Amino acid sequence: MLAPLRRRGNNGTIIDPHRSIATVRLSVVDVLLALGVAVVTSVTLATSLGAIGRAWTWMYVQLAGPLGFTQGVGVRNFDSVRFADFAVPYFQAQAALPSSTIWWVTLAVTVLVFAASFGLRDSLLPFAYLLRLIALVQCSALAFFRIAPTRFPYDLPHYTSSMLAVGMAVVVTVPVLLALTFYVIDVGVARKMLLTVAMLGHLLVFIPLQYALHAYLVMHASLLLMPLLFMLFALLPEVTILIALYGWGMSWRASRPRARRE
Amino acid sequence: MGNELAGIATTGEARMNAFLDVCFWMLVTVIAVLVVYTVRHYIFTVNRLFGRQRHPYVDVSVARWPAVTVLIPAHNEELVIGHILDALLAGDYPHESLTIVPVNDRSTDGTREVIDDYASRYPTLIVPMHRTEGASGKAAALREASEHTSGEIIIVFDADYVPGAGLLRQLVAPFFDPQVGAVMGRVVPLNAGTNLLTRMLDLERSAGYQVDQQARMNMRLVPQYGGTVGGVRSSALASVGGWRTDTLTEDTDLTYRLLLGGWEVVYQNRSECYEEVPEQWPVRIRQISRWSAGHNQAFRDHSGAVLRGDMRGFRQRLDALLLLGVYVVAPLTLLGWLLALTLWYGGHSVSGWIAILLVASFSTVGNFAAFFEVAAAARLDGHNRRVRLLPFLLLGFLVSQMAVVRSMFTFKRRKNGSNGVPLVQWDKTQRYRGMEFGVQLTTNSSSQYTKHSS
Repeated sequence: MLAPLRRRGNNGTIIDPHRSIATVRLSVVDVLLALGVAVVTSVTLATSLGAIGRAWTWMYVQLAGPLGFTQGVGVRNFDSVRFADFAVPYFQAQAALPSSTIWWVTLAVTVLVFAASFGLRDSLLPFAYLLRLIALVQCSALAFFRIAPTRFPYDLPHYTSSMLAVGMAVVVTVPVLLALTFYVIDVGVARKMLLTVAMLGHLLVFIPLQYALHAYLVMHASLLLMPLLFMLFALLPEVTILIALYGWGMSWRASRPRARRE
Repeated sequence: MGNELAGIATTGEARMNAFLDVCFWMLVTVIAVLVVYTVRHYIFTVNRLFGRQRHPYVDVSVARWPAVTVLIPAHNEELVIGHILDALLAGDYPHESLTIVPVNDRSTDGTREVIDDYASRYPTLIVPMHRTEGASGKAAALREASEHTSGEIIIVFDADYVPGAGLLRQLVAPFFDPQVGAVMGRVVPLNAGTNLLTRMLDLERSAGYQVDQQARMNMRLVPQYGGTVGGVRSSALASVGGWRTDTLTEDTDLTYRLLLGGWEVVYQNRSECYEEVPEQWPVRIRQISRWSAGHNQAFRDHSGAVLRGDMRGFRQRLDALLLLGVYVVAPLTLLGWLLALTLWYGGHSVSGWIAILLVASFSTVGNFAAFFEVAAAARLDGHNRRVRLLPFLLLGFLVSQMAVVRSMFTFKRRKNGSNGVPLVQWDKTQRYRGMEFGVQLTTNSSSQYTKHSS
């Protein structure tokens, strides 16, 4: 009862403990609330899998024409998901193996990107490293399609549907992720829900558009582009979005004064 | 003939599958190691946020303070050496128990003049040491200086640090505990707001000290002596053989020798001291390359002894091993990427949905433990807005990863002595303070120096 008085300042203000000893208060109610929000969100997501798949399919049907996929949209069922009728769409089109021209043009662009990365000024060094990484991954694709093009194990429909399923798996992990790293933080319940909705909403719109773009690029630039898209532009942007939104959420002010536990 | 060709093709296929299986299990192993580090990040963060905090020495303010020698190794530090001497002189540690030893090691700028000027004004407090021969480098400077000191406690600061008035007392207080062999304080960037890099380094430092070091202190694991803003008991130092001069990170090496020698290393989160962090990427890369090379050297030198169990309990031994291995994570992650790429090209598939879930879970939850730690530390520091820079840390991690991997080869070349580069030398981080404030130091015949503001 006396503990709060130790930190009562002038005019009833709160004296915060020094940052070196500050902690965050976590009560049983907070833990239960975190679990509750996570469970409710997960259950809602799980029961909505079928609807999400149908919404994505609708999006793909709308996009097929403008993107030039004239053969329409197919649907791949995931029978291993037993608790929901989960199916994801894909464009009914086969991407070609790279022609000799495409191969040489890609090689030239890759070399240019790699060389250009050395011309960036020091303050842009991380981007230079990123460009070099992109060039190296593309080099691996160039080598593969030079040596054994017919052994490339993926086609466009399989790639698109698999990556949509991976994206869905990322979406499903969001409530668990937030329960472990955000719901336990001292921000209000409304803000916890807001961040959850922001993350899920963003991903649910971003992921189908992302892989529609992948399909469009692979369709026009051949399978030669698929390894690069898979390695650096699939999960990585999704995780980056999550981290950016998470950073935003973690920047929100605490809903109550900081504690001191010694 | 057809059957033979079919047989050869089948054998080739079988070999490829076997190779991919090996890659797969290697990838599983790599992920398992990374998961261990993920769990470690998470436990530390939860402990620091919600657990009971150990600050056993923070309230010691009145005592009979022991004799202390403050060592300041310096090599071409004319821009900053005066600032730290001023700060130490303004401190509240009893002057009769204090000796400040700036160790000037072969400086070619005005460092000697600045130090000598201070020594002439404070002859009883400042006892300079000018090294012109013997082994070069910070560790060698510390070793020689330590041999000539009489204080019970040795406190070490790099020359660019600016200690607060009460810092020396805070750092000395833990030594009243006879088990304590070394103490480490917290490093806080002075130039955090300069650019994106310094802000990112501020976030990293915050996580490293606010969460990592304090959680280890809380859990009685292995707080690390970091070579500056810290100190060591003279007798403890002597008992483990003094400073080693053949290591790139004498601090990590000393931490482990002290622990293996039965001494305790403690961390004082309240003992904050400002430092300059690199403002340019190449400087940062050189810094992290040196740290990783030295740390990996400590890994080779001490992991065997740690495994043999010359430590206090399983948890401390495990933490000691994981701490030794932190810079092995970068090449491991790179290996993981290469393996994943190989498996992907090979069309290797594991039971579909479970594999997808595993990969997705690790990519999200796995990555998030580190970001949770950084964000939690920044929140504790009250730097909430800075947390919004979190996604940029991904780029920072990429640079660090490349620097660490490259340093493994650079270090090997150095060790082999090619290029005429000695194993250990001054590998200084560039200073900015003088430039920032437009300070120029010039010497005249009476060894006075003046500051010119631009």
